[in-house]
Amino acid sequence: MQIRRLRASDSTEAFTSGDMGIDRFLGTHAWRNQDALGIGVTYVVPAGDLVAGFVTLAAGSLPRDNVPESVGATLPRYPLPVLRLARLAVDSRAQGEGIGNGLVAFTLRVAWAMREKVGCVGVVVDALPHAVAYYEQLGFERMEALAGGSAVRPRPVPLYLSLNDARKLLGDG
Amino acid sequence: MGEEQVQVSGYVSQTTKRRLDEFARESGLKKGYILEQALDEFISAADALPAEYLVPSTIVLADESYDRVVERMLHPAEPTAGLAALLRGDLSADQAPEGF
Repeated sequence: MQIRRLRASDSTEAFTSGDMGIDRFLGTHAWRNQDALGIGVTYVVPAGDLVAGFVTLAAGSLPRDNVPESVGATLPRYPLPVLRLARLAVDSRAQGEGIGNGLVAFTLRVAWAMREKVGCVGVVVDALPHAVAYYEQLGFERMEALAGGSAVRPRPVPLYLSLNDARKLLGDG
Repeated sequence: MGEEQVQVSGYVSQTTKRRLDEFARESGLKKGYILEQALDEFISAADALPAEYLVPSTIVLADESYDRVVERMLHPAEPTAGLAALLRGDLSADQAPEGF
């Protein structure tokens, strides 16, 4: 499965996942977010001139206002860097072919590369309610976000996977 | 004098057509006016960057969740069978959610 960065020339208008909001995001905002604003990068699975699936990733951080003394003794007192899986969708004509799985695996490998190059402790995904069980089987855990959650409706569930859990599979374990 | 009116055409679902008819009947508004307003709203929204498309870079966690993140940094768990299968590339499509 080929996965590459979104290009200006990609035909995103025909992408139809069944979720109009996410389709509009790809067709209208993904390129601008990536190219003009630099607030996230979208990776696509090309299928001829079309896009069969995509994932949008962004760097993020997990702060806590009051780091307890017990933590401060062993960890730095600054926000923990994470990779955020912000959007993922598969065109309805390509669903069931494993593209979504491939994009999640790709995301974890990007997170590992980020860990190696600039530091990253884990991956945060904003999962729609029907996808929570899927991510939990991969080892993601639910988190309670006080701020910074996604504004998408239905309200997604923030889930977290520690890269240390995946070290044996992704890294030098 | 208002701007010249032109006709546009396109296919919509039976449900949308029914909702348009009902709304026009109940509100007394002309269908052309409703369609123009709806299209204007849609295009204006698409030109802007709606909040739902912004992904905040900072996620402030509840204390318990933050503690759990730290715990997993210091004391990693074994990878799940699902994660191992995913990274081998043989996680069954049946185990993926609808839409994958």
